[in-house]
Amino acid sequence: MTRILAVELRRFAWRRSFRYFGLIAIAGILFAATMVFFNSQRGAAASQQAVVTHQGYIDDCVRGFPRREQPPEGYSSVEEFCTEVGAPPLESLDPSFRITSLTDIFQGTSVPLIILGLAFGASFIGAEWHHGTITPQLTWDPRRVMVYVGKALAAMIAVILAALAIQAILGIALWVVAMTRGSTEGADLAWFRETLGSASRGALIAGLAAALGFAIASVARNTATALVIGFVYFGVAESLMRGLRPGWQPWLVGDNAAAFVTGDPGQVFMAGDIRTAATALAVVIAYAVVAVGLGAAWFRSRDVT
Amino acid sequence: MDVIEVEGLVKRYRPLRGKPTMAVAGLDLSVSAGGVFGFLGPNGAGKTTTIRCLLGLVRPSEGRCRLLGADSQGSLGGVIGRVGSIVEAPAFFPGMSGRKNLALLAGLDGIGRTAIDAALERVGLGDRGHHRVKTYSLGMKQRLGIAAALLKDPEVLILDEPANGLDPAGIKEVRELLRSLGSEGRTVFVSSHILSEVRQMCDRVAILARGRCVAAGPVDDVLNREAGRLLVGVADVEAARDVLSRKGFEATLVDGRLSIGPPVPDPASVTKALADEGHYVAELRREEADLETVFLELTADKDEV
Repeated sequence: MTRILAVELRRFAWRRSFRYFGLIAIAGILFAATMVFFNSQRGAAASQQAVVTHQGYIDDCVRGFPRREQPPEGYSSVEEFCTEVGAPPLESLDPSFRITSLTDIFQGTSVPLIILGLAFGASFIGAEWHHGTITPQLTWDPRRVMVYVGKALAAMIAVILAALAIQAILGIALWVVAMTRGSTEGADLAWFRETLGSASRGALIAGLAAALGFAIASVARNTATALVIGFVYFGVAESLMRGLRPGWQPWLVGDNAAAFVTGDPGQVFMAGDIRTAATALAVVIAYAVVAVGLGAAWFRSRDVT
Repeated sequence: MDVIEVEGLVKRYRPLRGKPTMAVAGLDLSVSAGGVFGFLGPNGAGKTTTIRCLLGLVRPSEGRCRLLGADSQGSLGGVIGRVGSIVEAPAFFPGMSGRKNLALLAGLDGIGRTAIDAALERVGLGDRGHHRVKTYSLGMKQRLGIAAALLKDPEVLILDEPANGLDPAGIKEVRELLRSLGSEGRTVFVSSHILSEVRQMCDRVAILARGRCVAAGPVDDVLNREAGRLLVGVADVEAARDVLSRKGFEATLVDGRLSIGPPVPDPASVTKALADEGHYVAELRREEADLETVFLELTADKDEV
């Protein structure tokens, strides 16, 4: 298994589409960091302006209450309500880039990474069927289940590592921007842990998406079919199920993935805190294991022609 | 010891629509160790399906195949390291170099760089190994396929149409290469429909038609048994033919001579039969059939084989 895994990881790294994607991703990160650099303003004047604007929002909110002595339920005063609810956070009004926003940025970048993970997983095996290279490989190692699982694991590991690498490059680029034109205030150990967790959760789900894409493409023996199936399922079928059968939501792959990536299942599930981030991850892992298991059984039983 | 044993092999492909296709219809074949064995048959005779069954890529509908004593459907893993093969057109990743493609296969068996270089040199691709496979001609891809098959330094080579796409010089090189491999004590099992090649390259041959073996044995024996003729010149050919007919020989008149066979009888028995009746043989020679004649006769679309 170690040899199969090593060979497959090497093949993944040697794929041109993977390399091109890496170059495009790095170029995109550098472009984004440059834009942030030029849009970020540092200094007391900029921060002071943010405080004034923030206070303006609060004042407008307070004026909207005809009877200030009757604050909304749960709040001791109208001012407290307006500070928490009626005005955007002060950080968001500050024109200087704050590195503490990286946690949310990582959640945002997880979405395209998950979609790309699905696509790379599908094309990893789809290309093998397209070029017919499964045949010679099986004449070198006829243990089909081992070969299949090795390939699936390689796709998963490669996507996880690539996603982590991209998040790391993005993080470093934005850290440099924050140090030069923004603020690193609040970037303590707790923040670092939270941010690392956010990046890791996105990368892990991208890896599991790769395993799902791999399994679908191995049955279809075609990348394009797998991508269509994947996007129709996640883009259409799950939306319909979510709308028509709300009771099924806790079992939808996409919702469990979102619950794990955000780390806040209560915001994702309509029924509230019905599961933890860990159980949401367990559901996604279970789907991936079942898909790869079925794919392996299918691969084992079918003729390779 | 037979390195290849095929017993009662039947393979039916069942398409989703339409009738099942009988690719192999009860094939029995055994190939002993050493030398070059030709596996001859027209397109669609079942050569590639037989090879796929031997290599465990396709599951037989009935019968069984054994390679180096191991059942192709169960225990091939123990012997596959001693078998090199090409099935149909060699399949490689076109975007990677020839060397990288070989490295991926070699990695599965822990084979090092030296063996890759040696294999590339042996097939004349030493200076093109670093070029992408998509820049290779069909003949170069075929050579790369042979290099891949040689990587394991195999005891048994199973090559499906290895001369496909090669120019005359390439065909000659491959023929010499395979002959030298056969003379080294390896068993080279070559499927082909290029009759002249088989004749020049192989020690033994099996001819396949409509999924069955219709002739097998040393090349010369097959030629003589199946299509050789004895040409006899006598003064009175009509009377001599009557004599031979009475004594159980089937003779026909061809260009003023008697043609006897196939199968070719013992020449001494023919001359004695004629001399006993007062017909003295003026000319007696064996007409060697060419493989093309044998092949066409044996593989002609008859109701019975």
